[in-house]
Amino acid sequence: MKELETAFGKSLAENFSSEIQSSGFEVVDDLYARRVYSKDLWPRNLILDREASLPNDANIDAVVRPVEVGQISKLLKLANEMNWVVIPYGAGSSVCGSASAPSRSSAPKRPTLVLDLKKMDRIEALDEVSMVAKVQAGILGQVLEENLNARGFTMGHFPSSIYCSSFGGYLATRAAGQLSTHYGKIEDMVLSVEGVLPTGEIFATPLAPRLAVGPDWNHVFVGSEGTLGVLTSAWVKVHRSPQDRKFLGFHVASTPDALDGVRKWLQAGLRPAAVRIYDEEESKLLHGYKSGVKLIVVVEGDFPYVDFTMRELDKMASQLSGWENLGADPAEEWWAKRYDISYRQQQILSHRRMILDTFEVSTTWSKLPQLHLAVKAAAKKVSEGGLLVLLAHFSHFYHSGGNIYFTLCGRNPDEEGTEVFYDQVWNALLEACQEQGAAISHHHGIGRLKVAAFVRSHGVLYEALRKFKNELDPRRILNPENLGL
Amino acid sequence: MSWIPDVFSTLKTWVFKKKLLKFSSRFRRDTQACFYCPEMCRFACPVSETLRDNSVTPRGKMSILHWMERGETPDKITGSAENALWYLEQCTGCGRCTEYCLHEIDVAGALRKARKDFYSPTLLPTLPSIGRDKNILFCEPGRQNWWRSRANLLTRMNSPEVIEWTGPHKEWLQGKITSQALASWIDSFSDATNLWFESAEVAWFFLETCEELGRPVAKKVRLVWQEFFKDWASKELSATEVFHESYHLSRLLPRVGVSVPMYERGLLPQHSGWNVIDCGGEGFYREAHPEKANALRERFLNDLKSDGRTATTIISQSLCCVEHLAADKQGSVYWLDHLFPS
Repeated sequence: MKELETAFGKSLAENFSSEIQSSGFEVVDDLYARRVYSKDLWPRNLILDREASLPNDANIDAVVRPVEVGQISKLLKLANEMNWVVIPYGAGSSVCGSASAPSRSSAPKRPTLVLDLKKMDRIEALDEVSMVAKVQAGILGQVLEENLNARGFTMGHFPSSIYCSSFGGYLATRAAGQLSTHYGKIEDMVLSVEGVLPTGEIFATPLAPRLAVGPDWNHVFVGSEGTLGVLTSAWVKVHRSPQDRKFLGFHVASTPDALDGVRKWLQAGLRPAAVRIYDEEESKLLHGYKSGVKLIVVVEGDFPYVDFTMRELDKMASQLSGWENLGADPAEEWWAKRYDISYRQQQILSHRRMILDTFEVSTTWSKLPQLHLAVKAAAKKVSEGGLLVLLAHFSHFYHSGGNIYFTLCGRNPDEEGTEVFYDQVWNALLEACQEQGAAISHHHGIGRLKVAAFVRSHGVLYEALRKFKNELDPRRILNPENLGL
Repeated sequence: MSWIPDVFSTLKTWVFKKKLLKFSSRFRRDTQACFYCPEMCRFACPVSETLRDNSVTPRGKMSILHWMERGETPDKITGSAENALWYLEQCTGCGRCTEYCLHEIDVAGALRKARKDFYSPTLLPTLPSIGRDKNILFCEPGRQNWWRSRANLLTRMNSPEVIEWTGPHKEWLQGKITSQALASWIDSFSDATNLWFESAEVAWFFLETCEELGRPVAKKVRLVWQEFFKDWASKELSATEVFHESYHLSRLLPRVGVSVPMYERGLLPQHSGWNVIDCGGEGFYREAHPEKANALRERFLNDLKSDGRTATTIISQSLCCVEHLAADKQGSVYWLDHLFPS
């Protein structure tokens, strides 16, 4: 505990050692581990790392790794006594800074611990009759899915970050997978969550397929991004591995035409696993289309379901004007490389002055085309003097609307201050989105990136949330500043 | 003036496609690829997966090299050169990071080469003698008598001279020896007719060294168990037997020009349901970091149990793994020779 001793004095370090290490925690205070765990995959962190020299120290003081929920309870109680900051951490793949430690410049300086949950990574139970599984927070998405597959099941949650993200992260950020139109988002899958309140009390919400016993606690904790409690496990729905999977691709005359057709599918009750519409610019730049837009569909499930859905999708599409059926190839190509897109960021972010990020928003069908145009227009305005390309695709759909997934890629017009350019672009896009009355995040969450817009979007309810946080976490030990709390 | 937007659009397209979405040749060689990557390979690294430690993921380790390339010292990055080496050695050399890299970065190779910079030049260990014969079988240590009692197998290899392997493959993998230091020893095999290797890992070391040095003797390398693949493949494993293979070698060896049908029998991780297939028994890792290697072994054995299987016998392709797994005293662990009684 040399590092802790240096930073916070011998008595605190000794207290830490005796109380925490005797509880069976693995504690690491090595400099490089602290550097790594100070950050997640928020592109702003990468931009700062790229453009600045290595700081002398890290933003955190130690990493602790519990193996069971009782240890977390003890740690949080002690953290309250000692006024330590605790940052829950899974795979560290947040792109909004949810798991990034607050800056050291934040006053007052408090000892900061990262609570790494990856040693809690088991599937605790699988009820094959009810088709529900109890899963611990620290398991990586891909490992969870492989383990379920080996038993003949799937969770149906396939974010493009599946190789580098954890189940706890899905809960914390209210995540969505690529096949969510069929399987639902994480909040549709969760039946019950277990965790620890900031003051150390262990809790579990009731396990039932549906209930009417007051406000739904699952919806309070899922999406709270480590500010209201540490989520340690959850019961989630699982499905039998699909018997069949089929693909469809279309060329459509325009984005509004494509959206109109997909709306008709969804409102007719059809639930393909994935539908993706790439707007004109993305279809042109990334898919080589000379005009119009690319639309792909994946349907999976048992044989009769897949046959029926494919037949109905095809039948309805044939009655739409401006739609041309391209067969299975375009969707099969996407399927083969469906996780690759996240890994292209390095090609851009490794270049000085470049920024790259993704921005996912949602709204109802009637506002979706206008939201698309308004955010594009805002990008054009903010990019004056610099280069900014804003691509868009639509990838999650509902009875009432859908999302837009923007990819922004730009170059800072100035030699220095790329992070300032990054912030300006984000602010402009978030404001444009809010002017259209849309949700500022569909599935990445808020983190430290979108706090101002988050506060604006909640209005008086933000103050209510802040009061609630203060009741649960009076010393603000748990992930302070995240969500602006 | 309608051509202006078109020019801008064309420029944007050109910039986007030619500059942003392509690797330059320089880019592919350096460590930036990993530094800015969200880690497609992290779930495949047995060390980071077992230790559940973000700082020893492939990206975590490659980031140390990236900071060093940018002029930072190991002291500043990790606290000391010793610490930096500790991180770079949190690698069994299995190569799964290389296999799963979307951008074909040789992560395992880069880490192996980087480790060399942290070691002072050391004396070469005893190298195996070249022997009298041009047809040589390098068996594993202590295995000479086993082979000599199986004349039928040796006959199929045209009766090679059997020499126990004492070569420096572990030191080479750890970074204590450069390929260049082995040049004259490699050259001493230049007129061999066949070089049989009992261990696929040793064969890989030999082949990779030949490739780095540009020596054609690599073409003489043969894998013993590959020769007997058909016999082995005809033996059905019972319900209580598990085959543990050095699966990574089936990926590494083709990179140096050797096909390995033996490893294509279908006993791949996706068939056995293992997420972490490296038990930590191979290479230098078990000797350099025994406690961590034991953690890998524990994870490996626990994964077998958590899959709900009832394996009481583990048959392994690697003698190092046999020793390592057997030390846990859970069930029976055998080498491939279990399949070839005398």
